[in-house]
Amino acid sequence: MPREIVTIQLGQCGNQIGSVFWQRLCAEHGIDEQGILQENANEGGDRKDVFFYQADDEHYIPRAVLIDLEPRVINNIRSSAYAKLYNPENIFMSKDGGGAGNNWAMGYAAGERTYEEVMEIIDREAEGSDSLEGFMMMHSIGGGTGSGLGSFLLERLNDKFPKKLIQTYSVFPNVQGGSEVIVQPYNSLLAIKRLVNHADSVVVLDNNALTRITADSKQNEGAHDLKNQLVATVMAASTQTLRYPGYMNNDLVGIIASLIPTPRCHFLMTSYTPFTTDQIEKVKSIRKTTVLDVMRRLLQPKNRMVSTVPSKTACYISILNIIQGDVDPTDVHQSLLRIRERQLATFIPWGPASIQVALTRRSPYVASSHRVSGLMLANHTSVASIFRRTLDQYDRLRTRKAFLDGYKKEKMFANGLEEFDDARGVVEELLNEYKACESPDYISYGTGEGEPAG
Amino acid sequence: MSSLLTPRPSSRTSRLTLSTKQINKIAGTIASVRATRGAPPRSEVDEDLDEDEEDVNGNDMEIKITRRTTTSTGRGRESIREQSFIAESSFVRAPLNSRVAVQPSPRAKKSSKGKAREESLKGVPIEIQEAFILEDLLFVLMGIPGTYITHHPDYNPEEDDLDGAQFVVSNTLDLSLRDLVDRILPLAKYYTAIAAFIERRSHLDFGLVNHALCASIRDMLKDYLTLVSQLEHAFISSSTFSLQKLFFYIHPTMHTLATLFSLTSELVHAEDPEEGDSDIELVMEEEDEEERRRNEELGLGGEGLKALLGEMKGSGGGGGIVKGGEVVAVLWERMMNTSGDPTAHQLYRKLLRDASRPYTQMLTRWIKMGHLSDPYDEFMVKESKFINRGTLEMDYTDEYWDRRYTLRDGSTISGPTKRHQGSAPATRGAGGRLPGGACIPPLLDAWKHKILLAGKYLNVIRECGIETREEEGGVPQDEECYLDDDQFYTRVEDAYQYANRTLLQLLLKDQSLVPRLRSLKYYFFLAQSSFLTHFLDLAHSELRKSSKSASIVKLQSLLYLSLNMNFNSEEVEFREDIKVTMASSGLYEWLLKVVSVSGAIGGEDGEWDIGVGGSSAGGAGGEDGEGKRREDKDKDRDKKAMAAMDALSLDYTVKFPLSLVISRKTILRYQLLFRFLLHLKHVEQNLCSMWIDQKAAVWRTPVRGHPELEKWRARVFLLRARMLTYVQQILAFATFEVLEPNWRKLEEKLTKVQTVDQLLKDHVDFLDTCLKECMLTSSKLLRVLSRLLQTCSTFALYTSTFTKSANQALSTFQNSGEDPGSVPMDKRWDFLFKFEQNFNHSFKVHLDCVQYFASSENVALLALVVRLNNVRVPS
Repeated sequence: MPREIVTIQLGQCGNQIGSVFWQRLCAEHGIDEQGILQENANEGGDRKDVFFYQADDEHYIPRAVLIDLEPRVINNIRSSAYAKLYNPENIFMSKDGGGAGNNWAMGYAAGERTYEEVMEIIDREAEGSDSLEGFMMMHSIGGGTGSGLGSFLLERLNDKFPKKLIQTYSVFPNVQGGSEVIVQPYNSLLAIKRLVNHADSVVVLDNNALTRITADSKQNEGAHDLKNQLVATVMAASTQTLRYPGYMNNDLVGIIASLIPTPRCHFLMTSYTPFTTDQIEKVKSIRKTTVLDVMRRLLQPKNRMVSTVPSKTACYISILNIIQGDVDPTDVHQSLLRIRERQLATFIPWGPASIQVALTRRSPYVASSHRVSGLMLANHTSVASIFRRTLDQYDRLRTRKAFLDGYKKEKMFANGLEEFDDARGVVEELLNEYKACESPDYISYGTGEGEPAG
Repeated sequence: MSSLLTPRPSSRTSRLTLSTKQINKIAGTIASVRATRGAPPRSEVDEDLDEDEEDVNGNDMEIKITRRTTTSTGRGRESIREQSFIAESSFVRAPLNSRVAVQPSPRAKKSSKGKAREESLKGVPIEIQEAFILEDLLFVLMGIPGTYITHHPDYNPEEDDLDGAQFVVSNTLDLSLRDLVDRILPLAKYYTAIAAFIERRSHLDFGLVNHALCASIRDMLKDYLTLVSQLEHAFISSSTFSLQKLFFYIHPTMHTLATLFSLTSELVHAEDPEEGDSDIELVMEEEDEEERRRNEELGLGGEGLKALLGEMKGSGGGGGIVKGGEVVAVLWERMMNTSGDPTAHQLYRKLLRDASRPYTQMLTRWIKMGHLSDPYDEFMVKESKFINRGTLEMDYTDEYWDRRYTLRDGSTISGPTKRHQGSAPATRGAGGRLPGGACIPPLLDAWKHKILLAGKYLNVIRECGIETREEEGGVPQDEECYLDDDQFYTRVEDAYQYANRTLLQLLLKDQSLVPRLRSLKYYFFLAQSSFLTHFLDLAHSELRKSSKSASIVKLQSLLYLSLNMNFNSEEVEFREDIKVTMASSGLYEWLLKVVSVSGAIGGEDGEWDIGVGGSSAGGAGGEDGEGKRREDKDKDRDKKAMAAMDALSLDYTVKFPLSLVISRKTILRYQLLFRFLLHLKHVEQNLCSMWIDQKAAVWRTPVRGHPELEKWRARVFLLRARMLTYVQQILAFATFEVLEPNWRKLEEKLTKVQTVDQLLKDHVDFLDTCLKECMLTSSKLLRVLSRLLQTCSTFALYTSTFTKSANQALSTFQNSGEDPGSVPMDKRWDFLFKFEQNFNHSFKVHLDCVQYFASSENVALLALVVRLNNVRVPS
C-alpha cells in the first residue's frame, strides 16, 4: 500500500466536507456505503489503497480520522448511510461535548488536553500504512475546533512527522459581515500563522468564492451542501492522479513540490470546471468541453475558489492542471500554445513559468456528462489579498480590543496577547513575501554581490 | 509415371553405355540365344550390320527386298524386347534408361568389324542410293549409325553425347540426295542429344523438376519413335516411299525436336559453360536453317547466344546443376519467347506444365500447410534448420523470423540488405539468372514474398502445435493447377490470406497480443507508474548498493510485492513474466556506444547488435573475440562503478509465437526506454525528497536582518525548482507527447493490421520512433541530457550538505546576536554557483541542441522546445 494518505477532518466544517469527500471517493472507487466493493467495480486501474485499507472482511475502510469537540456533525455521520464505513476507533469526540465555542484558544487548549487520545489514533493510522506519504487535513479556520485544535495538531504533526507532508484544505471564512462568528478574524489570523509555519501545502477554499460559485448555479436552499460538494469535488480531483495513476504525478510530493518552489509560499488556489452536481446539472450546462476550453476557463478568476482583489502585478508562481477524461495528449500541447500566445497566464518573472498538465483517467464508476473536466491547482500571488483582508479585519477588531475576553481565559493568552502580534507579524511577512515574488529581483542578491550567474 | 520419378537409392554412374569389351561379350553370348528370345539391341545391331555387309556385297535389287524383310523382323524383335525388358535389372538402377533407345557405340562397331568400311555408293543407281540411304536414315534417326551415314570422325560419344551424335553422309552419295539427307540429319543429332539428356538427368541429384521434365520429354520421344516406326513401315510396304516423302513426314517433328534440343542444350550448357563452348560453333553451324531464322527473329540469334556463352565462360561459370526453379524459369522464358511460334509455344507450355508439377506441388504444400520438403534444394524457399525457436530467447537480431526461412535469391521484403545478400548464390553468367532453386521462375517473382510468408506463417502456427487446416471445402488439393494458370495465383493469394489471417488471429486473439503489449506499456513505459514508486520505496536500501552487490532475488521479490499490492487489473495478469535484471553498463554509455557505432539510428536492423554482448543474459554470440574481451573489460569497470539504481532494468519473457513480436530486439528497446524513464523518475524523486528536506523550519523561518542568507536560500530553492521543472517537463514530454500518442497510433494500427510482417514492422517502428523522439538516438543530445540529469541528481545528493550549511548559518547568526557579518556567505554562494552555472550552461546547450534537432531532423522535439522555454533559465 504505497504512499498512503491519512485524512484528518476537524470540527464542524471539516467533518461536513470530509463526509461528502468520502462519499465521493467511495463512488469513484465503486465502494458502497458499507465499504464493500461493488460487484461491477472490477474494471481496475485505480488505487484504492491510498485512501482506504482493507479490513479482515474485505471491507474498505477509509484512512480517516474524525475529530470534533461537539458531537452534532459526527453524530449525523454516524446516523447516515455511511455510518459503517468509518472505523469507529478513528472517531474522536470530546467527552464533555461542549465544543470550542468558536474560540481558537479554546480549541487549542482542548488540543493540549486531548493530545494523547488524538495522537494515538493518528499514530495507529500512520503505523498501519507501509510508506505514509502525509496527512490531509480538512478544517475551517474561522471557528474554534477546526481552527484552534487544527493549529495545535499542525504544530504537533509537523514536529512528530517532519518528513511527512501535511496538506490542508482550509476553508477561509466569509468576510462580508453577517457571519455568525464574530471573532473569525482572530481565529483566522492565529490559524494562518500555523498554516504558514507548520503546513506544507494549504489549499485555500474561500467561503466567499464558494458561495459565489454555487450561488451562480442555484438558489440558497441547500447552498451549504452544494459548497461541500464543490469542495469534495475539488479534493477528489486534486487526488485523482494518486488514485488513478498515470505516467506522472502519482505521488503527492511530486505535485506539491512543483507547485511550491519556496516553502513559505504554499497557499494554493483551485478552480474546477465544469462543476456540476446531480442537482444543478440540468440548470447549468457547459456544452463545450475541449481541453483548451477547460484550460482557458480554469484560468478565469471567476472560477477560482478564492476571491481576490484584482491586481495588475499579480502573477502565477506555478500552475498544475489536472485534466480528467478522454484526452488526446496532443490537444494539450496545442492548448498550451494557445494560452501562451494569448498570454492568459502571467508568471513570476524569475522562475519556471510553465503550466504543468497532468492527464488522468476518470473513474469508470461515476458517469459524467462532460467529456473533459479539469482542476487547476495554482500558486498565485494574489492569494495575498486574502491575507490582507484578514489582517484588515483583525486590525479593525483589535484596535477596538473587542471580544478578547474569551481568549484571555485560556492559558496561552493569560499573560498577554503577544501571540496575536506574533501571528500578525507572520501573516504580514507572508504578505510581503508574496508581494516580493511579483518582482523580478526576488531572487537577486543582496548588496555588494555581483550577479555571477550567466 | 510418377513412380519412375521417385528417387531410389542408386549409385551414380556417369556413363551408362557399356565398355567395348563388355559389349563384345554380350554380343557373343546373346547371339546364341537370339533365336528363342528377343535379342538386346546391341546384338541386333551387330546382326543388322552383318546383313548390311551381305547386302552391299550382293549389290542386287533383290537384296533390297530381303533387306527390308530382315529389318522388319529386326523391328519386330525390338518390340518384343521392349516388353521383356521390364524384368531387366538395369531397370532398377536407372529406371529411365529402360526407355531410352540405347545407342550403340561406334567403336563397338569398329572393333567388331575392324576398320569401318567406307561403303561407296559410286556407280549405284540413284534409286538404289535412295533406298540405301533411306534405310540408313531410319536407323540414324534413332541414333544408330548406318552404313552410309556414320558418326563424324571427331565425335566422341563419351563426351559429346549431350550435344548429340554428329553424323556424316558418305561422300559418294548423289548430291541431290545428299542435300536432302543433310537437312534431315540434324534430327538424329537432336534425338541422340535429347535421349542423352534424359539419361543424364534422370539421376537423383537433378531433382524432381528435372525428373518431371525428362518424363515429359520422354513421352515426346516415344511419339517420335512411333513416327519413325511408322515411316519404316511405310518404307517397307510402299514402293513409292521416297526420301522426299520422309522429309515431308519428318519435317514437323524436326521442328519439335529442334526446339527440345535447344532447350536441353541450354540447360546443359548453362551448367558447365566451359565444356559446351568448344562445340557451340558446330552446334550453330548445324542448326537448322529454319531454327536459326526463327531464333534470329526472336533475338536469340546465333551471335547473341555465342556472346552469351562466351560471357558465361568469362564469368567462370555458375555453380551447380540446373534444377528446380531454374528449369522452370528457363521453360517459362522460352515459352514466352516463342509466343510467335505456336508449335514451340505449345510444346514449351506442355513441358512447363509437366516439369513444374513437382514444383507446384511443393509450393502448394508449403503455402497450404507450411510444410517444406525440398530434398534437392529446388524450391525458392530455404530453411535453415539450425535456427530453431530456441534462439529467440537470447537472440537480439530476430534471427528466427528473418533467417529461418528465406528466399534463395536472398531478397527480403524490405529490399535487399547487406546481410542477406551474402546468402544468395552467384548469378549464372550474363543472363543474371540465379542457379538452381535460387532462381525464382519469373512468373512467380511477383509472388515470391507472399509465398514465403504464407508458408512461414503457417510454419509458425505448426510450431505452436496447432494443426494447419487439413483441407477446407474450397479447392480440392488434387485438382491440377498450372503455373501459367491464373487460378493458380488466386490460390496462392488465398493461401497467403489464409495463413496471414490465421497467424494474426493466433497472435492477436489466442495469444492476446494487445493485452501483452499493454502490459509492456504498463511495466516499461510506466503508464501507471505507482507500482514503480512503491517498488523504489521498498527497494530503496537495496538499490543504493552497487549493482554487483545488490541482490536480484531480493529485488525481484520486492517487485512482485509491489505488483501484488496493486489492483487486479489485466496488466498485472502477466506479472510472472517480468523480471528484474541488472544491466552491465550505464544507460547513456550504452546508448552512446550504440549511436557512435551506427552513426545515426534509423531503424535498420542489426545495429543494436553492438552492445548486446554487454547486456544481460548470455549475450549474443557472433562477436569476434577481441570485441568481446574489450566489452568484458568495460563491463567490469562499469559494474564496479555503477549503483544498482542506475543498472536496474526489467526483463520480460514470453513464449514462442509471441516472442516473434516481443522479441529480444524489441525488449531491448523497451528496456532502453524504461531505463530512461526510470532515471528521470529517480531524479524527480530525489529532487522531491530535497524539497521535503527543505520544507523544514531551518529553511522556512524568515531570517530578518540577514537578507543575504534569505537570498541564498531562495536561490537554492529556485535552482531546485528549475531542476524539478526541467525533469518533470522532460518526463511529461516523453510520456504524454511521445509514448502515449505513439502508443495510441500503434494500437490503432494493430486493429487494422493486415499482415504479420506489417505488425512486426509497426511494432519496431513504434519503438524506434519513441526512442528517437525521446532523444535517445542522437549522441549530441544524449551527452547533454545525461550531463544535465547528472547535475540534477548530484545537486539532490548534496541535500543534506545544504541543509547543514543553512542550519549552521542560522544558528551562528542567531547566537551572534543577529549580526549578518558573523555569517560569511561567500563559500555558500560559491558552492551553489558551481551547481547553478553547471546547470544553466548545460541547460542552454541542451535547449540549443533540442532546438536545432527540432528544426532539422526531429520535429517532434518542437513540443519540448516550448516546454523547456518555460523553465526559463537565465542566460
